[in-house]
Amino acid sequence: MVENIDLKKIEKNILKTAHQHGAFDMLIGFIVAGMSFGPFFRETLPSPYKYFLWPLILVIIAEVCLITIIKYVIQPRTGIAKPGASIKSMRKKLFIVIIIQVTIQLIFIILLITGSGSGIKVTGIMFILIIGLFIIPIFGIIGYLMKYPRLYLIGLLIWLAIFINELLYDYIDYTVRWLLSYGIIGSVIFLMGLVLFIRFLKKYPLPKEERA
Amino acid sequence: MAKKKAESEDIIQPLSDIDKIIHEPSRLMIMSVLYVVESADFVFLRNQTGLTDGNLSSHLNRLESVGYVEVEKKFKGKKPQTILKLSKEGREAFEIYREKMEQVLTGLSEK
Repeated sequence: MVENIDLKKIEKNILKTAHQHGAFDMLIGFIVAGMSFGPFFRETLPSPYKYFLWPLILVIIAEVCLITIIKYVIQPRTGIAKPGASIKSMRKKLFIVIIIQVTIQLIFIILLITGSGSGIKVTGIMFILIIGLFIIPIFGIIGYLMKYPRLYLIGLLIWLAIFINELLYDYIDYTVRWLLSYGIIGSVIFLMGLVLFIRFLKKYPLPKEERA
Repeated sequence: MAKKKAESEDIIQPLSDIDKIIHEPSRLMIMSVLYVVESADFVFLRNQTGLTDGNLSSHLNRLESVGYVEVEKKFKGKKPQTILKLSKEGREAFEIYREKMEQVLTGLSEK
């Protein structure tokens, strides 16, 4: 009997239940697909806000939706658990990774606002490689820590969207180009999440009153 | 002959004082899940263990009666919510149980 009690496996299973519902995938897909409308805002907003205001709005909408879905749809079905010591330590590591990611993004934004980065020109295949080196490991680390292997694929798909966008740079108008790259890839990620979410709703119907 | 008997007794002896409350498969599942989390509600535990409501309730009652599990009943809005956590004794008992079982199984696989 005891050879079957692998506490690491139980922990892994608990972590998996935290994202098996597909809501995270849907919201990442929503943000990526929403990015495809960025060029329309770029024409109306002043610089440098035109670069980050729309992504910021998308992230805020996604966060509000995620919190609402988790609270009113997911938690009543899966129940609630307070994490134990090792899950807490995993969260600390995750927090550090996210802090590093946010710091790098902030540096980019500051460079944009102050105009200090205007002298740096990274284009074409170099741009795609640098972005890939940044995005894929971040998603990989988060996916590994959260036992969330779909994040590897999501990181790769986001990088693919940037790749397609760069590939079509000289051939298609930028509003259509963003729709073709971020729009399609974002929709794929969203649909992937939607399928998981429907499966989750079928697997976990709302429970009747508890008896304990 | 006597030496061999003593050896086998060394391996099997811990089995006689194994905690029978925890040793029952369903309760072992409950204890294992509660061991890796700080606390969990009834729905979470039911999903993780795959037990029916009635089954889970009766095993929780048993674990609560020996002081291994602490049960807190409250309301979340209008819905009742049962929060469960391992007590200090429950945590210690589970650790002792794991040690003993490991000891027995290691002994058996080596002989």
